[in-house]
Amino acid sequence: MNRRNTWKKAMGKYWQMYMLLIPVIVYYIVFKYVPMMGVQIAFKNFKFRSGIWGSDWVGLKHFERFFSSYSSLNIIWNTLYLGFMSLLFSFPIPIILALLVNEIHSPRLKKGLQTITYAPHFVSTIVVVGMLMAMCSPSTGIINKILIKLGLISEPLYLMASAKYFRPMYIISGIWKDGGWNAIIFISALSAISVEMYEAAEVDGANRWQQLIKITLPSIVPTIVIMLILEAGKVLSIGFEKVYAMQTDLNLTVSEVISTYTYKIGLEDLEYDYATAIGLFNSVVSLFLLLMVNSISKRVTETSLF
Amino acid sequence: MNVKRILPLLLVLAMLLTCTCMFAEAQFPLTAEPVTFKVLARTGSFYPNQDYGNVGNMKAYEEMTGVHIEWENIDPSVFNNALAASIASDELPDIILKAGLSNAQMFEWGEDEILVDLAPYIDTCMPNFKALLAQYPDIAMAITAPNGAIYGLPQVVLAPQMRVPNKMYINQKALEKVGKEMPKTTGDLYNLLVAIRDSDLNGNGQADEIPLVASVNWLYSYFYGTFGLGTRGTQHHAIVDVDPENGALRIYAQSENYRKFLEYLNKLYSEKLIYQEIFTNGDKNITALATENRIGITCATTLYNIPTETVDAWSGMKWQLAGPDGYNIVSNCRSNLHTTGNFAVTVECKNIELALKWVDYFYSEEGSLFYHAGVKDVNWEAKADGSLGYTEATLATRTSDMTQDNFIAQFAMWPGGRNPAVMLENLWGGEYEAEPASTAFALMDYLPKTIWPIFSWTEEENEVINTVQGDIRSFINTSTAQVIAGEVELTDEWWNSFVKQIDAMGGKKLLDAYQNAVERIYSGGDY
Amino acid sequence: MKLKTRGDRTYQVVINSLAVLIGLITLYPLIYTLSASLSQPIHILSGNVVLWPVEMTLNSYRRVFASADILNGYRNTIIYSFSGTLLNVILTIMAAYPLSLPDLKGKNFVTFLITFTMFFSGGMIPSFINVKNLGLMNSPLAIILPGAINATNMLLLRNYFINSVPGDLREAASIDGCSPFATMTQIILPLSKSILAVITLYYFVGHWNSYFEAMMYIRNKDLYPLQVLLRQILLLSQMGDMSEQMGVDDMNTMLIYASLKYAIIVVSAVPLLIIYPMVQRFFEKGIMMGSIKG
Repeated sequence: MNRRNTWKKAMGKYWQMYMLLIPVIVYYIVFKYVPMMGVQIAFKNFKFRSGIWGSDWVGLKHFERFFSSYSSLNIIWNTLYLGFMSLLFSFPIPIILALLVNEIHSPRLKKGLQTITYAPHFVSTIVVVGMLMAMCSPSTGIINKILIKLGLISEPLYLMASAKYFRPMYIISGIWKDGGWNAIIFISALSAISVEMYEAAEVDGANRWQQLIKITLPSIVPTIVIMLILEAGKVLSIGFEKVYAMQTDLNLTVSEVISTYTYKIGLEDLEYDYATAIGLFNSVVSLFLLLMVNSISKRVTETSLF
Repeated sequence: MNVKRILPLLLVLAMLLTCTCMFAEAQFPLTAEPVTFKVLARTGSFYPNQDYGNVGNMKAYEEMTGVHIEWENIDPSVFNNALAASIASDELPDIILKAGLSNAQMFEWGEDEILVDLAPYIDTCMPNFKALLAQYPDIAMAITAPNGAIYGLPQVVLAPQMRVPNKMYINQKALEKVGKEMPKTTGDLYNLLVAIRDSDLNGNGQADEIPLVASVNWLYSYFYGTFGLGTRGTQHHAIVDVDPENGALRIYAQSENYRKFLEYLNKLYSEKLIYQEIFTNGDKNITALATENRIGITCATTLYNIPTETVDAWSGMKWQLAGPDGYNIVSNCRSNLHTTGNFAVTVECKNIELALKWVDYFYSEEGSLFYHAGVKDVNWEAKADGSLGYTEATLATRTSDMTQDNFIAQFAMWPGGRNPAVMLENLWGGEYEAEPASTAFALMDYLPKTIWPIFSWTEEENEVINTVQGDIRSFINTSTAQVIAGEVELTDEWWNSFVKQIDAMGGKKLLDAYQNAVERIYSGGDY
Repeated sequence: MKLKTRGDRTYQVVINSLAVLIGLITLYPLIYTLSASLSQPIHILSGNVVLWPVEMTLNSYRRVFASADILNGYRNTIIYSFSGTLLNVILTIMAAYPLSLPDLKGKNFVTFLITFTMFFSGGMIPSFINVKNLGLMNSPLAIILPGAINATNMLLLRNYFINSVPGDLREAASIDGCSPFATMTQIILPLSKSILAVITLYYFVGHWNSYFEAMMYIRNKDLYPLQVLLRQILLLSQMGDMSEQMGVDDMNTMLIYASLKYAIIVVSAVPLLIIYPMVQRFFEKGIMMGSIKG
């Protein structure tokens, strides 16, 4: 009774808002939830003729196959490790960059730095890896030449082939490509801070560094938290293209991740049911990570998705 | 253009051709009534926006046969997905062309009643292909499903030029400089490489010579044969072969000879006789290194990597190097088949006989030329000296930014591979060029006595192959690279754990699957 | 703000030097890209291109533009990007604003439904069947509609409405007799220019760079966007399965791909670099807080 009343009240006040949501919900049903029914082939022996609904159920067979395969644990570990390392190192950089841009006074330097750091986002993955190969070549690469000149190493390093350099190279090149791009959301958030707050702080005698810590940073915390929650949900979703391009026989022990593995089996044999099962495992873990970080954040910072 | 004027000529030509054809059945036109087939075709990654409907010989073939093709050209990067999606959404084409479907895929789709069993029609509709099957039992072996059906047609390779893709080429200038002969054994090769390394070949006063450059795959598979590994051909069977000593199936990476192979390549790498950057696609740099005159030896299919100005100095080695135990097998070789599943007919097709007659022509000598090189006397002709080659008019269409592939793709179906056709000795270009071809002919003497064709696995076998073989293969590749690059030391302890590890990954299961397959396929027991 | 103390001046010097350093490190590979696109390919392969072009040539650009399809592709991309982005932004606002209202019943459920789709999808085949059943095959709508709302962008916008727009503003408007819809369009959205600029940019760049949908759903080559065409040229340089016919005279033709891939980056990215300053304007301080005072 009570429930129905509150709904009635909400409808009365917000009927326009519900009208706005209707096309959105229809969109999600038509373009997302209808095709999502296809996820059931993870539990089926998918036959093209019988289709998604008509194929026979096989229970957890595909999951068993994945977990009993020799490399699965290593692949999951590689994916998680690379994902967490990327998050750890790549996440703070855009925030720092945004703060730096915010602190610059000269408008030309400010705009210049923004544009330069934004540009690498448009260099395609294949070319990024191509450049890495060229710049890290032991014989002709500029990076080895600089390191030798500086006296940091005596023999050139085979950076792009060895397993121990794979993760750093992956993460550093990722920061170069997307650090500036990811900073945009923070730069935009910083522009919303009111000038009066700084003026008040200055009256109180706070220096620039104190203003940064006391005013600037706290005011973008909600944006940081939301981004962190969303990124946590992407830890397992390491894109295949770049890792695949960086794989060599020498680094395969650390560079084989879920997406490259599914790509390889999907490509060769069109095993959609098996590939869907692995993808489903990936999704469940990702959603779990997102919900976990979301609930921690809800308690600690009072910012959350729901 | 002047296509309209050429077409009547083509028709006349076609009539003449049919008279001289070996097989009376190939009567053009194939149908009096106009018939249309819907063909889903995989384009090559060589030519943006390839449209087979515009390819010269397909236009001519439409006139010859009376069969109209409605082409659906799909880019290779989305081909598998697009094919799967069109099957799943019940939008089957009549014919799937140049797809290179695996046997396992075709058998599954055959049992699913998506593809039609072609075996019953071959006798009546495919005289040329039937003749090939009769002459080369290997082919039937490779494409027949365990239930006796044939769901797709292969690319048949009878040309010796195409049987041995991997050849070793030596820079004669380097040989002269160090005053040595072409090597005959792995020992000779080692001495030669050392000499080239220390020779200052380009005379720039720096020790920047790189004796041997090749991709890791070409490099490994060249040397397998010198150590008695890969004795049934490695193109189709990457990690299992037959032990030449006792005739038993084995994973050859577990044999003592593989250890010798590792030791040898590690020695070459650690003494800087092999390009130090091979593990990061170092073969891509061959052109640049050759331009600077820094390299002595390479393994590759053809000499396309070598700059045109210096290519004459390079010659193929006309024998296989002998290893320490005297093995000199060319293990990187093809069976009579290049790929399977290049032409498949779906249940949607209303006129299976006609579809098969349409494709059968490409399995004849004349049809093979038509398929690979275009229309006779329009695109190619017999030269005065009896050799075949493109006509002047056709050559004139090649612009400077076209590769051989781009050029041929204008008038013939060859580029992109996965062709439902036979390749005979009489083509030209690429692996048919003088140096690669003469080298391949010479190397034919070193082929294994049995080359396994592509196997048709049962469903159970196939599941083992897909999971276990992939895992073991990448483990072997990684370990091999680590040893050669010197990241791990090849001790007894390491070797024993390497061999054990392969067993732990399911090596026995893999060998059982192979044992089943070879006993079924070679019913005589002589595999 | 004036720089008053010595500490503040030192601070500014440190900040500026840091900015210049980061700028230079980031800039180097970009200059390399440009130089490589202008160099003779052989020098890229042999490592001679370090900073400036070696043996400058425009061949790779000539090659990219030689195909008439490229200009048509540009035109298509511009059409798809603008119309797609317009639809995206409108729909995203329609989702994000209602879901940001603290007392809208059912908002958490709908938000979760949307977030859920970030992780679970049926995969390629069901999406294809869906697009086909809706009759969108071979239509530009197949490129635009399936991604009409991006959940991440929706959540970012919603988060902005929750955290950066004072709640009292809405209440004041409501007391003044503004309907929720009018509050949204006349008061809240003008205050949200910076975040709207960000998601507009995200959507636009997403459309500009997308190719997969076009490859899957479009068979009519006249409708191909730029990226499909560029990608096909780019993949050529990977040399896939072509060695069979490669002959001795192919080397010079193949070499061009070493520089072509860099030229492709320049060709496809320049328009996006030009539009960025327009977006940057919305990040300047005070641009929207002014309207609160007014």
